[in-house]
Amino acid sequence: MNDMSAPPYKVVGTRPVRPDGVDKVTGKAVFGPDFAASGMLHGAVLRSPHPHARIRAIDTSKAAALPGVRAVVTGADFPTLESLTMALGESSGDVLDIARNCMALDKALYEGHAVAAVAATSTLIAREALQLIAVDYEVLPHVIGIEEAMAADAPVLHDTLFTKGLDATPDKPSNVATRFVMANGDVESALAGAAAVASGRFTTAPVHQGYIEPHACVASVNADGQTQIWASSQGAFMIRSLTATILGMPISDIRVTPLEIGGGFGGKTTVYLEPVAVLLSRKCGLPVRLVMTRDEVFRASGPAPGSVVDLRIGADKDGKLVAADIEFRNSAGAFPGSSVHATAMCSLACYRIANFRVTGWDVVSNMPSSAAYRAPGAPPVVFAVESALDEIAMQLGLDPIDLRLRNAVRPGDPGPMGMPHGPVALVECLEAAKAHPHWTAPLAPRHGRGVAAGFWPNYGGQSTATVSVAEDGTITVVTGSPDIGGSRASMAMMAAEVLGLPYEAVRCIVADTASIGFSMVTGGSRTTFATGKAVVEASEAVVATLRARAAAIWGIEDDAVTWQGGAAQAAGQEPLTIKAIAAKAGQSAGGTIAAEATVNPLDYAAGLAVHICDTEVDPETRQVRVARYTAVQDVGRAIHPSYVEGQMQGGAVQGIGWALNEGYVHDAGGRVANAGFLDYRMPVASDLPMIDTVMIEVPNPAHPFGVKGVGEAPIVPPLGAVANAVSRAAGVRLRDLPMSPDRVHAAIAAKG
Amino acid sequence: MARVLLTPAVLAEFPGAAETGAVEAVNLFQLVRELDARFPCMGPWCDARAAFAVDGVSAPDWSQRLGPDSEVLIITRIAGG
Amino acid sequence: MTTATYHAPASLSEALGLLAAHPGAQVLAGGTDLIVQVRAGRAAPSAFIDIKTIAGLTGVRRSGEGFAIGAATPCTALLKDAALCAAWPGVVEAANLIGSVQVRNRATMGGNLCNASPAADSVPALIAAGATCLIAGPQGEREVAVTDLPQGPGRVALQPGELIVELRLPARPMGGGDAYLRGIPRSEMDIAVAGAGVALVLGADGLCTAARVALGAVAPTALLVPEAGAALVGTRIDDAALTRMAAAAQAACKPIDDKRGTAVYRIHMAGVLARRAALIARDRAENNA
Ligand SMILES: Cc1cc2nc3c(=O)[nH]c(=O)nc-3n(C[C@H](O)[C@H](O)[C@H](O)COP(=O)(O)OP(=O)(O)OC[C@H]3O[C@@H](n4cnc5c(N)ncnc54)[C@H](O)[C@@H]3O)c2cc1C
Repeated sequence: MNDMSAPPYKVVGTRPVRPDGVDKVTGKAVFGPDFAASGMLHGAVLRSPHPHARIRAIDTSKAAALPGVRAVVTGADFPTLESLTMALGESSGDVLDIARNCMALDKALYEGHAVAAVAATSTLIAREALQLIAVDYEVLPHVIGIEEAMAADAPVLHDTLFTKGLDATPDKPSNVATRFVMANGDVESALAGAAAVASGRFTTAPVHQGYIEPHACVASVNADGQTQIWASSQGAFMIRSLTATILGMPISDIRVTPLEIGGGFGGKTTVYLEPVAVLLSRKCGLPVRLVMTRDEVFRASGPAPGSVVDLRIGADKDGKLVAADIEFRNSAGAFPGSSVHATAMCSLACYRIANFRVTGWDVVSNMPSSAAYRAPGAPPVVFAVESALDEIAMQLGLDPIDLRLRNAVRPGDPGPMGMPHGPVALVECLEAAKAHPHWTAPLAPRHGRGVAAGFWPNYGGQSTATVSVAEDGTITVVTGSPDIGGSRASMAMMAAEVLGLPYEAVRCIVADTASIGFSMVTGGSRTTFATGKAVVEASEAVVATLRARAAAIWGIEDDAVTWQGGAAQAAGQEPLTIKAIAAKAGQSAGGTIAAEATVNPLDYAAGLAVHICDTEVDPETRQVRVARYTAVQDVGRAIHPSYVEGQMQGGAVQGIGWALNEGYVHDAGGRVANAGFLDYRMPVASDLPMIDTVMIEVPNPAHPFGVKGVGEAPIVPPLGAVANAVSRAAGVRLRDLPMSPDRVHAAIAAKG
Repeated sequence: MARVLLTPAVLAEFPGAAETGAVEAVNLFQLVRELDARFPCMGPWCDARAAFAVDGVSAPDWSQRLGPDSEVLIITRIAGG
Repeated sequence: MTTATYHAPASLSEALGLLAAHPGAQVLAGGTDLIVQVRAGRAAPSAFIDIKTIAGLTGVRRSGEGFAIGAATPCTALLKDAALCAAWPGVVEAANLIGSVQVRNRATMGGNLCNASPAADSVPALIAAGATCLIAGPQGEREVAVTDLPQGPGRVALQPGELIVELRLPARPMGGGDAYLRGIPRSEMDIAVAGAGVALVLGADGLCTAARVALGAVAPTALLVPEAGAALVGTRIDDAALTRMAAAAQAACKPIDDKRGTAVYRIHMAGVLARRAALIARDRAENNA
């Protein structure tokens, strides 16, 4: 394990209560759907009942005439495609898709696709008005499944979509947006010489992020164009820029105030309602609230892509991996963009393999446009790869952890995108897993044990933070990074550590877009790393100022002053506490003490995780029970260990759901059949054992406290870990997720 | 002359750029201008989508000087969740 | 705008009068189906007639040797009646598999029956137990076997203006025992993929003298499967009898593939659950002999 002795931190590594905790447990916290502005109207969105239809005409006159209705909008109220292309140039593609996803223009591309919206004096009137909107649909043949969508005779969603990445540009549009190939060495001859080869097809269903809080916002537009939006999301700045871009507005005209967020998991890194609410408010001059129902969340907000993965992986007789050939197809939903690059990059990132060919296809079909979901792209392909490694271990009679250790990447090895791996700690994670009592605990009858590893690159990027000293020497930290996992606590802790103050002396808030500099979304496991760096830099600048003030008061050089225990220290002087300096600052000593830091670090470090899972398969009902689960992860440095463990446990649980029972089910008409929590079977508390966690701390040298991101890596291994456990318990390889009892039954029955 | 390496994700967008080889540029800004001149739209695309690594180290700051033997890797940015 | 009206009658006759006066009215018991359906736009009653305010419709009464359960009695209240729990544990357990504690604090067996979902949990248990329901309506009162009430998904044999007043359970026979089990992929908060209720009687000699087997979620309505019951009668509920019983239960299934599970799996589960429920019922019967 890590041989660095733990640095002597006072605050970092402790487990204080989060600053937003009291509000949340007492029900005071204002989440997206809770916010109300005075004079606010209530909006509702009309959604297509057809998975694929041309919109010939929309007649909103009856709805507009209903008493109480103040505004109606349709796709025609959005700026035109041409004007957006002119304004944005090459990068307009995605934004156009996001705009079209917010509201259909000439075609509804999935059941639930927004086609019109109204604002009225009550929700009931708004809903009634929707029924008065007459949409003339020409129903078109639809396609849902990945392979069906790739077929030559499939109904085509976009006649402007020509496959990128083929040797020759196709002359016909299709549902295949991109082919992507990553290759090295000679796969075929390496496979031919392999002692063990695992091969097969693995599939996963589209799954929803399953956040409890539905999408919601309030927008208020003034006659001069100045606009306010209150919304919960993973990035207020993301809402601001996307809304401004989609509606052709100056960014500075929009101010977005973040509300408490009730879960995002990647699904709140884009806009659905905000541009629509702005258009409605612009038409009537009053604030307008839009809130999705659970049904709308499932039908119209982003699932993670489903996938079909074919692979062959070979190893020599000692278990050294010699070659991998992977072809995966991701379902992007209605618009291109199913994280094929990340899928390819993460597929083999854990292992040294000289010969590989990874081919990815990004495929559109008549489903909601897919959205990010923790480690977007990685879990399905890693499920396939880790299943194959389990088969190889069985074929060669090797311990599955030993097999992985034999092939694990080490720092400096070639990385998946051509850059060398940074401080990856896969070996440490595997060794900790092997040493954990779980790995050697005896297995009860009918139980199986699976293990799997996972890689996620993490991210850095732009963040801003300000740190200011109040008149009494207490501290306010302001960031622009929505807090989805306890980051306000972590930011306050890092500032307190630098300032030498107790945690309680530092409070942290997330500001609106007019009150702090640009910060990217809280996503990509970047916030504690990047925003944390900004907080540390700003705190250090405040310490420098405090030392300078003390030096001025004492009449000595700045360099002669050190900062320790929240006070300036110098030889022969009584320490000057921050409280004393702050008190003087306003009167005699240089004015307000505050600092801002803007950062854009890209020296982030990848997250590695190894999970062990025991499952029991009922011999009659074929029902799977997760009996024991251990999540090991290299976390760099755990600023707040409880919240890091929470990320690891949450990732494991979401992955278990993905593996066992979650998944979109479509009926023959292309409509979602299980758009609610009763039939979209996320795990409930009683389905799960305690998720044990083991944090490995191999610090990231590029972060002052060694932080690596921890939010995404833990959802990468569980699909494989659970599938390997179930396969070993059931005596048959389970290749299709979810492994619902009827699937397990069918797999066992097929084996005979 | 900096040596330019394009990852498959970039090649999918600009198939013709495979043989790019070496580009004369003092820094990444100039490198992107040179690429844009050769391959239509590559400049705006780099602004929006690309990430660079110079000699195996990621380079967020495009003003970074390029040496005569620098190896520049162009990759696409990966979105997180 | 059309808005539904809400009524809280104090008596059964007032409720019947309201039902007669409002043709599009629906009875509101716990509302755990009805309110959900209204919100989703799948039901739009002209009026809600709340039966929870009717005196005497909430609670469990002794009725002769048997039990009368008021139609507005929430499922969790059944747990508090020790005699009912001792006599018909399978019924009480079935009702207390529904949803979560919060749902069960509202949900009623009458609502479960009248909502007529093929997967309703309390219904197979009630059928196995030989329960009846007392129905009141414009023509007066009638008593109908629970097994005769469901007609298809969402349809029950109630005439306009009628409502269920109470569910009736007979006295537990000497040597009787019952049980209900369901299959769900999760451990709770899920809808049955299949369900099986078994009630049986063991004679003094340990031989089964009567048995009723009912299945849920494997056909458009809950099914009473007389052949399955017959397979147990005259046996010691041994392995061979259980195998014949399970086969008879499976033969009666007419399930569909849907979002909750495949037809093949449902049939498989009907056999597994009927067998397991019969074993529990047998153990209970032995303790009651
Ligand atoms: C989260 C959740 C989980 C659930 N889980 C389950 C489950 O696990 N198993 C299961 O079986 N069900 C489940 N249900 C469905 C529901 O809770 C049950 O069917 C419940 O028993 C319905 O009872 P209720 O009193 O709430 O009925 P209500 O919603 O009040 O009524 C249901 C229907 O019956 C009619 N009705 C009610 N009482 C009478 C009467 N006395 N006379 C005539 N008509 C009447 C109503 O008009 C309505 O049409 C679940 C529901 C939810 C919301």
